[in-house]
Amino acid sequence: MWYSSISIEQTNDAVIAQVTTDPQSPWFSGHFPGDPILPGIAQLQMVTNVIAQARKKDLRLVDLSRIKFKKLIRPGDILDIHALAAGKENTYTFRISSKQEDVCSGTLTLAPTQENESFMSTDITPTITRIAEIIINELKLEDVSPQTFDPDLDLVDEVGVDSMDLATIALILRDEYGIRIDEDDYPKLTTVRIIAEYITQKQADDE
Amino acid sequence: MANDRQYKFAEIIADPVIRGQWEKVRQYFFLRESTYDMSNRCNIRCEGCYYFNGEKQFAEENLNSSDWQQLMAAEKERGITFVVLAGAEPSLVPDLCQTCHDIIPLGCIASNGLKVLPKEIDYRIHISVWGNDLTSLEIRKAKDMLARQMANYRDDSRAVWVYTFTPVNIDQAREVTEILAANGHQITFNMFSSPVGYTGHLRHTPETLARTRAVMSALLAEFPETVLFSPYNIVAHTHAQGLHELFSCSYPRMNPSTDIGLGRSFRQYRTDLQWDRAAACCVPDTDCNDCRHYAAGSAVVTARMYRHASNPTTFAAWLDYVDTYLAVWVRGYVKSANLCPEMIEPPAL
Ligand code: SF4
Ligand code: SF4
Repeated sequence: MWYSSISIEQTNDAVIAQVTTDPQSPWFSGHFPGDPILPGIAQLQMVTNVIAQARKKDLRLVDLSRIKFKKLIRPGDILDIHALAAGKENTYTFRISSKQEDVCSGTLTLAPTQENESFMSTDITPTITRIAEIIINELKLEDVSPQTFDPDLDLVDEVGVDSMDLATIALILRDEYGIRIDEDDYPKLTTVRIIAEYITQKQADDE
Repeated sequence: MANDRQYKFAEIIADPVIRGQWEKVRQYFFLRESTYDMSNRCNIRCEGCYYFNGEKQFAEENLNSSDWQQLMAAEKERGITFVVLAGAEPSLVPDLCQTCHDIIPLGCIASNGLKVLPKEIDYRIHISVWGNDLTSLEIRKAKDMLARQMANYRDDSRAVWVYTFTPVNIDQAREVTEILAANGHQITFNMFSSPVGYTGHLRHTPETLARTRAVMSALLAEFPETVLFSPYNIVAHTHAQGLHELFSCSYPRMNPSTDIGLGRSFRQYRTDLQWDRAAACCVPDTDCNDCRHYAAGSAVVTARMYRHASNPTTFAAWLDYVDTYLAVWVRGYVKSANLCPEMIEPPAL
């Protein structure tokens, strides 16, 4: 886990928690070397987890809106999380702050995890979410988040990735996962899921 | 510089100068090119001309501007953002060039420069030069070629001269560069690359490649404002190995994959608006083993970013190459100073 809870309290319509980030988390080592910050996706997942824990329900993130990142989170930062029920069931407006300063805010919609499904299990792995995040950032895609990005979309036909984009993505993945992506393999890397499998395979081969 | 250690990409682009250049060039990653033969005629006849050596010259001309309009609209639709109008002489069909420009606003025209293209066609214009005017008269049977080209394109920032080095004109490049520099024009360098089956005296040898390299280096150093080139361009185009052997050409003709990149999107249309995947590259009648063509390198070297991102020096050299390519091909793009002064060896795969 990339954070640990210091306290979690709840009322009918609010969840209030304090957590601290773990400097040893791989989120920090890969993101970015010499300049570690906690990526947005890890922050949002952290808020989701805290709400799920307080409510004693298995909840997963299904939608986001008005997300604003205002301040970077560094290893070991102590963070205050305030989540307020926003009227609709399982929808929360939230704010993360650190030393009274706003870090991130927005609205999250959660949904109960279906049976046999827990977040980040076989279907959406952290690697898939991270690759989606890289693609969204590199291509400056709008109206989509790492969570809502369909890992089975054809990157060339449906997302508009071209070879130079893929080379850029391959370099970022090389940094993060320590693998070499052969230029001849680009044509095979047609979806986020396939890229994730490719990375896992390469890492296994290298061991 | 010792470059044995493994660099992360983030470390390479942490250098503010490299990062600045990277951010500059990557804004053009959206360019997807295809090329179009505009006319099967030319107003001169040069020895060793690619166009009149190959099959394409026998394609019929389609001069119907609504057919061209439709083609361009379809090209735009399939994601083409940059057109190269070539063979034989596009300036003979200015209306068709205008039609292309109206639909796809970024592009380049390869011309012999003897007939001026209307200003409204705001593409980059590559004017071919094969030596001094004496040589042009001999090989191209055209008098005062450079003088006429310069008169046609005086103060016209669309124009860049493309000097093709053959074994017999290496030393004339200086004279041509000096004249262009004195008139405030720009020049870039091309290498004669043999058409398929050609074994004549214009084919480069290791000795002529080495001499060309020396002349290019001297001109680049002496005329940095005039010469659009970089030390790494010199290496890539005067290497004993051709571009395909060095960088593995990604044009459809040499690349069976249709999944991504040039192999997927590139087409070379003939004057009858047909194209053939098996022949599709920017210089279709060229012998791949002898290919050092500037247009080929612009696509092939540029596409190989990943292997150049191994250390700061190699990546800087690649950035110089891409910066040069954009300055030569894209209207309004201004070349920066080269970052890598060394002639580094191209990275192996
Ligand atoms: S000007 Fe160009 S197209 Fe015309 S003959 Fe010469 S090389 Fe061929
Ligand atoms: S001639 Fe050059 S650009 Fe064309 S396919 Fe061969 S190597 Fe590639």
